[in-house]
Amino acid sequence: MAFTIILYKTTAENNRLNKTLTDAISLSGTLREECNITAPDILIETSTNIAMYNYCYIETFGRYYFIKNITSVRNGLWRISLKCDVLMTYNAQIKTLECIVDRSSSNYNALIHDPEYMMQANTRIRTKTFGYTFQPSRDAYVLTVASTYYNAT
Amino acid sequence: MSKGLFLLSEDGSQVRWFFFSTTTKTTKVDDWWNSSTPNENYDNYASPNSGNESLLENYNSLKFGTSITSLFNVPKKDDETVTFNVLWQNTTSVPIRYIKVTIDHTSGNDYYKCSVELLDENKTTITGTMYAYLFCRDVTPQYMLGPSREYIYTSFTLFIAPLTDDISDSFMFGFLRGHKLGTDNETQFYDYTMYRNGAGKKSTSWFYNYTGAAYPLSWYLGMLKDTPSYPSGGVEPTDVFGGDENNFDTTSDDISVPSPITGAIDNGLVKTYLISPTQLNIMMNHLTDFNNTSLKDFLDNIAMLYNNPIDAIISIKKFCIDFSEVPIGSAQNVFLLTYDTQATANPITAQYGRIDVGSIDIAEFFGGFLDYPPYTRCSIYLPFIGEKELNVQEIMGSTIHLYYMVDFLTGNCVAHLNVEKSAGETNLNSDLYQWEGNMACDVPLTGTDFHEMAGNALGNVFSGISNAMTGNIGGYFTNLGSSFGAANTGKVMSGAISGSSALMGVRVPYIKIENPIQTVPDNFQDLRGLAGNINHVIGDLSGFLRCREVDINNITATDDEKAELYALLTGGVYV
Repeated sequence: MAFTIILYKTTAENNRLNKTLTDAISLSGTLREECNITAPDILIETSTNIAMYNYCYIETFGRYYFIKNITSVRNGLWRISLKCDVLMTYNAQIKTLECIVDRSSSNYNALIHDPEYMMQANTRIRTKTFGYTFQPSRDAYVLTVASTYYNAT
Repeated sequence: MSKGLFLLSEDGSQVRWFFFSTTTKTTKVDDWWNSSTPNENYDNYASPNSGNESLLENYNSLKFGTSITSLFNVPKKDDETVTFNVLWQNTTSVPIRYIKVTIDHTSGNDYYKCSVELLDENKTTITGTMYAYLFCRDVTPQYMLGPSREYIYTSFTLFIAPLTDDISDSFMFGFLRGHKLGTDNETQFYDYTMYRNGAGKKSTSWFYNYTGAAYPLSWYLGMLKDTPSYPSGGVEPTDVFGGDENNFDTTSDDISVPSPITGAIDNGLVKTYLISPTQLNIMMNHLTDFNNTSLKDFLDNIAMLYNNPIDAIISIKKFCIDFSEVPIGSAQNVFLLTYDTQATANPITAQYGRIDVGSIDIAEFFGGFLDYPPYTRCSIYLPFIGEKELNVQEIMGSTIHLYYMVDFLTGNCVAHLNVEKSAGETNLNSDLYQWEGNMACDVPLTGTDFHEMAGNALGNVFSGISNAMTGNIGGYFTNLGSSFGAANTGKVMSGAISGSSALMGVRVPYIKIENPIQTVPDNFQDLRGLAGNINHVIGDLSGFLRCREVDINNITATDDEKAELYALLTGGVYV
């Protein structure tokens, strides 16, 4: 089976859907042995030092892979242990999925209680006045007297 | 703090501006327009200012008002930035000739307060219906900021445009207040949704004929949303909770307090006066003048009712209010029953009076759940009553108005707290709280131990209040005691010395708000996200995402891969 593997370097988090890939090198060959497509071990014969590569794409399988381990079998022969990156592989399909967001950096409801927020033991106390002071009347008393109807005007 | 005032021509080609450093600036519109240096490239003002801008925090409490003297309170802090603009339209026939702008920092509450007044040719404030519109396009609500609140980006400042051909008629107006870029110099939030916290829903009565440059007003209007704004899909489902009979009626009936219609004063059996210490002394001296034949006749006549004429005095009280707010009649002689005491005083025409204490806007501090119970607590201190707990759910985002109803006959008072709130699911304008107290301090009148009671009352309660008062009244009481003390048995007409403690305590009503202090790492929102519970298509999201539930059956992957995908999406991924 004609076989092309493209090796990449990436610094992206493993749990990122769309990873930034750099330093691509494409290697062609033939797949001679049985192979698990989600976690294959593949022998690569190349004069290029691939020890610093950590990601790859196998067009035949239509999948992106993390390089879990690289073994130098002998001069120019490498064995790489791969694991399928399902997020990158199905990136386009995942983005069409509708989900119920539990937590998100971009879309959230700030009024929902968030148990992951932490607070200090002390608190912030503020006072605000109504801008009014009850001042004792300096020059007046309120006098209430018994009265009669006729002068109650 | 530098302040900027801008005016933009209708076609958007010219702009006038000036900066001022004083607290208040009044400028004539025409002069301003004609003499200022035109500047066609107003985009220059997209650049950050040079260092002396005052930076603000907490964008929750920009107050919107429909009055032309609207106040915008912006809490001050040294870390953030805000630009806020005001649009208005003069619907009166009076041309606007001057603009008076005041931006002041009040050290008491650490707020900036901004007021705008439109003045006529005589520099008289134009009153009438004005539509004011506040937007703050460069402000990101605090809860949308990164945990370290570094993601502020100000792209443009503000634009002011005449709304009609007459430049003095109406126009947009703005203040320029500094800029700050995100730490990575990129806009982090494209949703510049502005919130009118505590002030209700956005206006629908605004109209506008702006045809100039920059953005059409609709663009700004589109940014303004009600408070708080639920993200898409986050609203309460109408078909799940509450059963089939739900109508989700969010309206409220206003609850107000009717004024007391009649009181004891109205029936004429008692009469209440506002009397000065001097007149009080005249009255009491007259009542002790036993050479006065009319007094003797009076005493003979009232002997069937009272032991002495003092008995006809029901109470003398000292109140802790400004009597300029109390309805009183013109001065007249004070009568005890039918006896003219020769003293003059102003009758208080209503037994009950209302003392308006003022209003406070209760704005969200965080703009999120931390502003509500159990995290935030609020209490109110009421002179003569004490400290009372308030329900934060009821008052957050509202304008609370405090007033006292006072009974001048007894000194009893009831403090009412009106809550006006139109935010989210709540529409209130009601007196939700009332508390009872007594704000009067009785002056004791008695025949027994009179010297002691009068001395205590005057010495402890009124000392320092009024030298003139203590001199006159104290002198009188001494004489009164000498004259009547031996002749009368102990009888208290108006006894208890109530309210004196309140007189010696804090007499400023205030609220106390206790907020938590959150401790959030700088990159918390990026790495962990914030709580959602929203339906969304994953591709429309960005940054960290943790799904509560997701259907992955439409993906053409192996079962193991689907299981892994599900675990990843519900465990947290970066989109």
